Amino acid sequence: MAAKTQAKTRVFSDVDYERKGKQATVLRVPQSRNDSGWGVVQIPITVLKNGKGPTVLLTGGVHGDEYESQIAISELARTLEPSSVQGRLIIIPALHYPAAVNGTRLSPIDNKDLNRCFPGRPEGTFADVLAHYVTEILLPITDVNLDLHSGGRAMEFVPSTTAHVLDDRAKMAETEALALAFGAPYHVVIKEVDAGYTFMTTCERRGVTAISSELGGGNRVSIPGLASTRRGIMNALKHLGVIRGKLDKSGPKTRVVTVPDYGCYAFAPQAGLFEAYHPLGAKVRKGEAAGALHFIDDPHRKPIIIDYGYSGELWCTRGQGQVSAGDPVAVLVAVR
Amino acid sequence: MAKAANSRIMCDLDWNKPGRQVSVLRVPQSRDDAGWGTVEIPIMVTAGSEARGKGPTVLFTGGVHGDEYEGQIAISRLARSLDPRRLKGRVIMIPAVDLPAALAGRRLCPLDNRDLNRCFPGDPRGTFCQMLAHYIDSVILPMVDVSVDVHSAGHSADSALSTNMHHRADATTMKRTLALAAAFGAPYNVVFWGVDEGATLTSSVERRQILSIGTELGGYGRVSVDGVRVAERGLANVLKHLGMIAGKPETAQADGAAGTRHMMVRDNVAYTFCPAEGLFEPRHTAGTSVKKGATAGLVHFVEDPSREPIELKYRQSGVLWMAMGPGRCRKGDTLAVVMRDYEGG
Repeated sequence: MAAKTQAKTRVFSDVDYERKGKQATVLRVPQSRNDSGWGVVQIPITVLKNGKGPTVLLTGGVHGDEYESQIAISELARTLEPSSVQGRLIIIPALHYPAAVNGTRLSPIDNKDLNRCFPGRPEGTFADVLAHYVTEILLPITDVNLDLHSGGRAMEFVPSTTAHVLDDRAKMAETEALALAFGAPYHVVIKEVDAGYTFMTTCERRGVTAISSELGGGNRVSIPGLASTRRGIMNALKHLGVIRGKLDKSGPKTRVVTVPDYGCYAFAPQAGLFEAYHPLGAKVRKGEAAGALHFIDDPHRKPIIIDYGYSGELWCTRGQGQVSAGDPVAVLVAVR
Repeated sequence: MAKAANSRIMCDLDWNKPGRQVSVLRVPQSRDDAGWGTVEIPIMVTAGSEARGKGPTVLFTGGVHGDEYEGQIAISRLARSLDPRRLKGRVIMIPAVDLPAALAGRRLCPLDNRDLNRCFPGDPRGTFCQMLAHYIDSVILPMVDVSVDVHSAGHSADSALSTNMHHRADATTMKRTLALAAAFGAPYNVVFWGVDEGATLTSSVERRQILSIGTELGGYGRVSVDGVRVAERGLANVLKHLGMIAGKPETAQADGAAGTRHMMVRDNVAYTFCPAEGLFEPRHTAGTSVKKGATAGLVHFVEDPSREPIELKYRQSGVLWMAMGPGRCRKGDTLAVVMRDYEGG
């Protein structure tokens, strides 16, 4: 079965997922260019296998401008020795590599968001081919996926883990236990905008336990976000028994929160310059002004005041001044 | 009087009329689909009547870099609310000088890919930014006594909320500029020495002996909640300090300090530069006290996770004024600027 799908992927690598020890190599994704018809894009991958235990797939940089995970996961790839691992760890610090080295959410190769390309297609563009490899080659051998995100350029978040609401109660409890071990300030059980073609949804369909995260953002490397990422990854791996040791509980106690409905999202009604009135984490009320949308080409036009549609805590704010119509400018969470 | 014969920019403002005027600078911009097209840059002039007595002319500019938003918001708000019946003198307000860049949310102008703040004193026969710089330098600045150019750090970085000024050889100018900055009342004021800024708006302002301060009020390409507040209060404070509106400047700081802390960036050791392309992990946020020799951050190589990151250190002690923004950095980029307490001179 695996062999059949493997034959279809166009990605190749000398990695042997069944070999014991540590392998630091690359996935080669073919990318025909004018100056290199047989050119490939090399995506660093590190695999550690030892003893008995689950297989954990650890991915960062699915969006290129989300840096915290790229740094923390690179460190792990560099420093972890196979003797300290029980099970198998597949580490890809910058999965959507062309976007990561470009510092953008979308790939400069095909202008696609990798996290809207799952489960992928081998005959598609770069991002489709890559998503297909992850779905068909990596997920069948994966028990748990930690796919770490942050707010990138567009958004800024209170550091948090995220997971979807699942029909399978046992799976949901297992997922939540993993998130609590990770130990970010919030664990957000989310109804996401456009989740159908994401990595996490594909993991869920394949029965892989999956958590994701939002660990900073705002167009830079977040210092508290990175601290949360480093601590969280180690805690999650300890919780899963892949690494020995006690959980680091030095972070704040995790609060489980939800995004119950789309009322939690405040969207910009049109393009403009958004001025938020509250910092992240603020407690706000339904009907209260979230901020003002200014029109810089016509300073005498009154700004549009955007209200919160829900009472809760401010989890996410717009990470950039300029907004387009339909962009979220604030996302609220409710304490469960 | 205020007409440069050779400028191609049109404006129907009567610069000497009392009251409130709202207009645009009309900058010709020939396009494929509009050969006689123009770009309209909003400009507002509010002037008190002669009866209220004479006062200075102040120029408030925002959006010289399009992705620096706090000034755009604060100056727009002031333009809507400033009452000419309670004003002495004249306030010229251009909330978004490089409007095409402001609407694009970019530092550089999308029409000519130039940094307006590197185009002064400008050229009437040049590109969009050069034309605009020339109009400001040759038409507007001759009328101006005091200039406040509101910047923030844009996408490049985040800044400790601050005003800034050049070190001036003339002791009287220096004293008056320091007093203006103190009246603005940002948490910090930064005095610069010997910076190569020959092509900036500030350099044009200074060549004309106009009192001048700039600001850095946020960054990372977003709107700073605190930066907007400091900008709004600062603009009103400047008008109070100059006796143009009633009241005394309010300079109390969030940390309990009574006023602005004067700082300086005197030499190259204030700067930490990027030694190689990579992904920068900063160790401190803007406004943090840092020590010489302490780790400023690490440049990581996600291209090759087995390569050790490069550690960068601060070269002087002080307060972090500028903290690098976007994670990706290139060789030669400024990653940190440390200011230290002003020592006079």
